Amino acid sequence: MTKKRNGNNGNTEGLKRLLVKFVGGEKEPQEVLIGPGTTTADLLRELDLNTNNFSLGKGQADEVFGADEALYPQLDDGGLVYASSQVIAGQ
Amino acid sequence: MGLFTNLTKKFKKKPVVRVITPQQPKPRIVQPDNTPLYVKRGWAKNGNTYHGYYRTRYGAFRGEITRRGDKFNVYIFKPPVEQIKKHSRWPCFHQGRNDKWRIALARNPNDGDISAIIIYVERIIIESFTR
Repeated sequence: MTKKRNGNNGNTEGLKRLLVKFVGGEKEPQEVLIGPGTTTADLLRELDLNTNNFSLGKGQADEVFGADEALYPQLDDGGLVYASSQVIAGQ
Repeated sequence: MGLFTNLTKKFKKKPVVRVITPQQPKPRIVQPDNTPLYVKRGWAKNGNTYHGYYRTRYGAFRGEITRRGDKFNVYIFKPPVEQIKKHSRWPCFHQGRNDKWRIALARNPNDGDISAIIIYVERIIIESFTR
């Protein structure tokens, strides 16, 4: 289900509403609206998060979105995404 | 008869009637749970050290993460070595004593969030089994 026209908040038709939670729990969860074509990097930038330092996922370890991956087709309206810091193993 | 009628009238109780005005149920706004992921996953903090399990569909592996300022020492006990050997991050696993392996990090979470480390190690385990 996607958002229909809302007189108070402008036209949100075709947008999906998501809740972004931060895995560390130190930042408050944020609601966002995304349109078709929105990538992980677009959303992170909108949240003032450095795209090199953060990633988005569905909360499970194997469900992390790539930086250029389009989020819109992969998430449902009212869905939940998790933002977490980038960690890289290295010697 | 007249006396009985008078007494009945005198002691006749008035029925108790109370009109309850219907109240609109107050909307309950449920706030999203903001518990850190490491707490939800059952990791416990003891000083600067966290203990818990890296949980994947391929098994749960005991872990330990120690914080030293903005750096983290990450350990896993009895990891699935045969699988992880196939992973590109295998050289970052260093065997210590008693099946305790250290996972060297090139990049630590910049917000000091150990939940990100837990997710990352779980991802390596999952990738090791699926590649």
